[in-house]
Amino acid sequence: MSEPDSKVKKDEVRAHFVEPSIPRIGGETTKVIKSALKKHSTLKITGDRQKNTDYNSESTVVSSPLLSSTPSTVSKSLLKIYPYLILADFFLSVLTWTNENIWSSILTVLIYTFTVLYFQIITRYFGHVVIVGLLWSYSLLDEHIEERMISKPTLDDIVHTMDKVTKKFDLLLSPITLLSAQDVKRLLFTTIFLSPLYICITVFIFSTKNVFLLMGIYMLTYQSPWAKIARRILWKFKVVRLMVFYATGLDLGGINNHQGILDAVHNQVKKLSNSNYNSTANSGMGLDRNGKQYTQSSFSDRNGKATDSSHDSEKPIRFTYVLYENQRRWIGIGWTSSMLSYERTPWTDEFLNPAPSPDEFTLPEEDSHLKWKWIDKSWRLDMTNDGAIQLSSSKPRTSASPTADASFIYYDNTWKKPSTQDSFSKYTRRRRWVRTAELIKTHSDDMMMPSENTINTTAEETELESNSPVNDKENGKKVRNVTINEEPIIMGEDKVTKQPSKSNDGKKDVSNDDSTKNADNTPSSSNPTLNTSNSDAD
Amino acid sequence: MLRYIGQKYEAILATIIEKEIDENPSNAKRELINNITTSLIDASIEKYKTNKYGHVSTATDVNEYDKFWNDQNFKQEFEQDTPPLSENIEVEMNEERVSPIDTQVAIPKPREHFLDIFVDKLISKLVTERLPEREQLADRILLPTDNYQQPISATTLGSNFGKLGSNLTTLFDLQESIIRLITWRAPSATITLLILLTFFINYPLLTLLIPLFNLLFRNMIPSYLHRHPSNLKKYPIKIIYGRSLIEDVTTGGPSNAWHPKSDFGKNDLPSSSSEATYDSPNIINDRTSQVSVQNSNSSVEIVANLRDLQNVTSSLVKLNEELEKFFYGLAGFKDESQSTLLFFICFISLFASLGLFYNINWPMFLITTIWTFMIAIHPKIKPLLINFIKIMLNKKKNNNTKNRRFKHLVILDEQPEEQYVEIFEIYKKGITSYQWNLCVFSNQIYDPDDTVRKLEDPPHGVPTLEDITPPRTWTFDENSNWEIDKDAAGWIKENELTLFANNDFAMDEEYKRRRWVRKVLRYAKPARKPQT
Amino acid sequence: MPDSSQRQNKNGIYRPRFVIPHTQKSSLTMITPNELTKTLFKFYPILIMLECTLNYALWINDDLCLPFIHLILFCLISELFNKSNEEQTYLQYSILEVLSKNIAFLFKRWIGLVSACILLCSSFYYISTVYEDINSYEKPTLDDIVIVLESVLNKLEIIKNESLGKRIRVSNFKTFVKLLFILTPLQFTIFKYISTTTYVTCFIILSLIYYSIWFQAMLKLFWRMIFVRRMYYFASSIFSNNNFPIGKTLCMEDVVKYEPLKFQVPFSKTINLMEKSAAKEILLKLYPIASDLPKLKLDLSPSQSINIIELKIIEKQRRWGVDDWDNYMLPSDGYTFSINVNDSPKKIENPIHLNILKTNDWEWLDDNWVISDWCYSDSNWNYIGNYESLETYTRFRLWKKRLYQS
Repeated sequence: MSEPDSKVKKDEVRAHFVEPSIPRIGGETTKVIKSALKKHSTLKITGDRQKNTDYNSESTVVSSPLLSSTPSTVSKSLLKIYPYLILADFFLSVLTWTNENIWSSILTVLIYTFTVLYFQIITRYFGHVVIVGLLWSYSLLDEHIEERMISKPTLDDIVHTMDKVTKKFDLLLSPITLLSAQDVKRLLFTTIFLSPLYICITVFIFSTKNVFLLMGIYMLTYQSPWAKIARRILWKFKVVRLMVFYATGLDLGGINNHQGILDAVHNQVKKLSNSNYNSTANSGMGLDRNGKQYTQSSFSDRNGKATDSSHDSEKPIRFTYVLYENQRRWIGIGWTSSMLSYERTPWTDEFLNPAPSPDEFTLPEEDSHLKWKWIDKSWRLDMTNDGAIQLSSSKPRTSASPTADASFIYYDNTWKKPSTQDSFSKYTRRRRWVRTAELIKTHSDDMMMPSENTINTTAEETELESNSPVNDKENGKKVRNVTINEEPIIMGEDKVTKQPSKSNDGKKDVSNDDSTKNADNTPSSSNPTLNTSNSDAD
Repeated sequence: MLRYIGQKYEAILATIIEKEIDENPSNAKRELINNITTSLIDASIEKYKTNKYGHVSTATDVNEYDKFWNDQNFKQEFEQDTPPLSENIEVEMNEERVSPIDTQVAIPKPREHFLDIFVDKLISKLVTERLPEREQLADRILLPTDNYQQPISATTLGSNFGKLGSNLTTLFDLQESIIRLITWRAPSATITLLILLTFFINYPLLTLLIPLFNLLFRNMIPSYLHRHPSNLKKYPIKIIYGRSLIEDVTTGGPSNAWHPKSDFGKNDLPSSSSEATYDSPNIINDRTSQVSVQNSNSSVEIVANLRDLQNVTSSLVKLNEELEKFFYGLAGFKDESQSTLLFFICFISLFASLGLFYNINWPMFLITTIWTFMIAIHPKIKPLLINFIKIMLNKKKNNNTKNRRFKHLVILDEQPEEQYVEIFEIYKKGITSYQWNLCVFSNQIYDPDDTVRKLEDPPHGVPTLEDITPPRTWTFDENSNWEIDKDAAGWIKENELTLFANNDFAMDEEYKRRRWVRKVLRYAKPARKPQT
Repeated sequence: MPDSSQRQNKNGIYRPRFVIPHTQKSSLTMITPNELTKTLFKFYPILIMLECTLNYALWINDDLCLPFIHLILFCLISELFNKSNEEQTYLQYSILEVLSKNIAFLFKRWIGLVSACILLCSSFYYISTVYEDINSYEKPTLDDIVIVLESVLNKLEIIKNESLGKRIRVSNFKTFVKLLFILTPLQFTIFKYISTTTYVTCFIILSLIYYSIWFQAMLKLFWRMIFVRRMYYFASSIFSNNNFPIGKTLCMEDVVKYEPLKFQVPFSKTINLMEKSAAKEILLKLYPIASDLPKLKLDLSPSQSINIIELKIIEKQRRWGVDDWDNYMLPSDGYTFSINVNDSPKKIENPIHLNILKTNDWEWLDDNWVISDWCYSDSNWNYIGNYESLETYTRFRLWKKRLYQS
């Protein structure tokens, strides 16, 4: 790939692809592993005295400075896990359609289809054949593993296989890892809620067998090139997206995106700060990934009622963010933030648009001239719940550390009949959290800021940073998604150009893709302590 | 002291008897009172004895108790380990073993006092009152069966409660775990319970098989695994990643779900249990004394009840001991072949009954069993039956071939556990630099960092290799011998020592040592024993 | 180990230390190459999931109820495939009619669906929380990773070596066919009584609990039962070619007929003229008991020779308890007394009863049996040593006596 083409004209200068340095850990790795093992086994004198003498007989061992530093415990474990790695590699490449021979994957699908279709007959007449066959393949596998254990792989091989396995595994799990724990819960509740419907479907339309067949084929072919393209095309239809949303309860993209609280604020800000800086509308907003223009209609001025009304651009703009915490009572479990799929999310703004939870809530980034700062140290519970609860005047209006059940308004199953008291007919509840922030101008030429103010803000900033482990988490997740290098559930962006090559020389391509990405990302993803130590090791 | 007590009670007795004769010349009653007083005297004398002479009687008990737990597979080892009958060791052992009883006895200063008052009161009450149900009660008290012959003794009662006390903890554990299940504090366990309940409601007869199932899989298999642990190693994995959906959904997960707050304060349970375990005799005495104050009419009943209670507790204690012997002995793989056989029989019967339960004519079955059982325990048929069984058993014992066949039912040929042991042969430097004198064979390396060496003691050990005994419960492999570890540098590195290697020896300035290694074998770990 | 490092006490008991298996004491972090660390770090989530799966398979979680619940859920999925009798005719009825008629059936199907859904979701949930946790907790050190790796390897090895997994193995096509041959009637009888769902459910349950320590312990206990062994050896004798036919017990008349046992030993012609006792004496002088017969015939002409048989009878014993050796054997052990003819063991009488010769032309050369010491071996007759130890479950020795043809 990086080899310059001989036919290229001399005056033409083309950029090369960045080629990752292939990890090459040492020269004669076999021997070095042997020497490491020898070191180990001579340390241990567990009775195998003959072996000791065997080792002594071969005297010439090449030692590489890099590999001899690999501790024997590690290399020994790696050597043991190698046969399993090879097996895993094979099965994963079948499942992810990255095998050089794509027919093995197709064969798997066919076998699956056949098994499901003729399940009854197979178990009835060939059940014992299957069981004995399984036993046989088990023993074959066993022998295979033992053989592999004896054959001495190089450490290079092991590390390479391990890399491959990791990548394929990540690829296989990519649709699952995209879901957060909360999403999975939501998926479960939605499916259980809709299960009567599914039962009806299995009774009247498809038989269970066919549903199983379809599901299985969908899962098995998930990573196949055709399925990918089909999904991508289908995803362009809004109907499909809506159907997926209602079936799973998960907003996998594009349904409710541009009505979020941050967008509303953003609009407000834009309005307030005039059209001076209008060219940078798309910069890094949390939910604004796709860069589409949102509609202004979803926003109303009510949001900004706590705002300092002065439109003077010299003074900072204050804004109170409002989040509603919604909960639903599940019988036998109690109040949880797991909601039904079609209803509001656990955290919403006041227009029931989904919002991030307070832990994940980060202030939007404005363009270079403006910056958000929190004024409140933390989210505070509105004890009046927007005026619904009467409080005696002595009590504070808001509280930073309320009890778990404080200031909820309770509703019935369909979010109607509000009341301040919990009763048996109430199945939902919500309460209101507020936090005020202000937008400060940070002109490069704006040195007139009062010093007090800057000190305060910096203090708060540091506090914010220390308080948010969430940032790490998000970084981590992003990094992982990137290494997967695959738009996980189909969605949005068109990357068709890159796809078709994948099926042809799958393995190679995957590794290359990933390693380029890795080159970018590893410093942030791998353990900082490890990094420092590694530099020492050399 | 002893005499004093005797005199005191004799005096009381005399007055009682006199009065009794005056008022009610019934023979039975006199006997009754006689009985009570003697038992009370017995009690105090017993206590006096235990206080004075230590725990002679209990110590012998312990020895008898221990003999049962001798392991079948470790005969020789056990003989080695039984301490010789030197005095100080015995005392040591007593102190270890009898401590629970000791605490029981250590309390009684106030009780003794109380007991005296109680006795006086009781007897005075007994004498003055005329009771309508006396005859009846007296019958009960003086019932001629074996069971009721036992005199009441406060110490027996107390020690019974003491022995039962340890079992009460399991009872309270059970209570605790039931609370945990009901309040969904362990959701997975609660769901399991629900599943099992559903199952047993569907197939109610199967509940009868629970004890058998428990014996097999909760008792026998764990004790087998205790003796022959699988080579599963425990790795110190610090963090457990990932959560279970079922757990999280049922507990509401990490979100702020509403939690039922239990009303069981932490103080309630332990206090009640501690009362029950430690002060139980007192409670009963208290209660009874209160009752006697309230309703003096039932005083004889109290004595009778007390005795009944004592009988109940004694039989409970006995039952408990028998159960322990069964669970840890026969069902605990103390004797492996017997236990294996038992396991097999139980397993077969479990599955046979699983199959049979719904194919049996239950009324018929029950009727026949009840009839045969009742006929079998008929006083005239019972001895005949027992005799018959004895004869049969003797026949079997005499019949050598049958015995042999029994032996050949089970084969124990598991690979024994293997380990290697090491010993260090330590030399001390002589006068010249080439002269080394053999010091000792020690299990310590005796390097400059050794604690013994820092105390400037000579190395501990024995003069020859033959004097070394294998680790407890292990035996040396007869087919292997002590061998010198040639790779001195290796074991120095492994132990992270600061010695330098010279041929087989690891040297320092003053001492040199070499390492001997030998294989030891063990068929199984010693069987489990009940915790005392 | 507190008891091993015990000091010498008054009774003169002195115990050595155990050799502690090599453990990594210093941290691995500083000494491992960079690339390796990176790879291992990326591999870490897989390791964790593998570890969890293996824990489930071996039933060694902290919370044993969870695998049980999952097992039940697995079994409930089969309800999905239960067919109602009238499924074909549904279309004729209205929905309400169908519902009212099949409420129990529909409920079961619903249960099946829900359990399938819960299972799927819990696996998803687990996977996604693993990644979440890895990112939110502090990063693992290399030592942590290696510990998990070793734990996984240990569990894999246990699964590989499970007690009977090794014994019941289908190693080649021949066994495969034979096993099928045996199992086919069984299969058809089973299906007369149970439905497909039950069959599959049983299979699933068995495969899920097979590696649990309880089940394995149970198997090991069964393996101790003699009659289980007998059944096993009977079954395996069908598969193996060298099965043990119940041959008749050889006596001396039979032994002399076996040509391979005979040695031609050079001797003068006059042997026939001599008296029996004299010939024997000469023979004994020529070939003392310790000598090896076949080596001596090298340079003498074969025409002048005499037939000699050296009987080598192997006696085998098995241990049945503490110091309780017995001639009672397992079927796989062969015969108590046997003699090798053409490398195949033949059953023979107890040598004590073999002293009287009924044939005319054969005479005992030696007066007494020469008995070797016991050699001790393990349960499968692999030689271990000359001393009895805990490892040795069997032992064998050689009875030697010679006879010649006069």
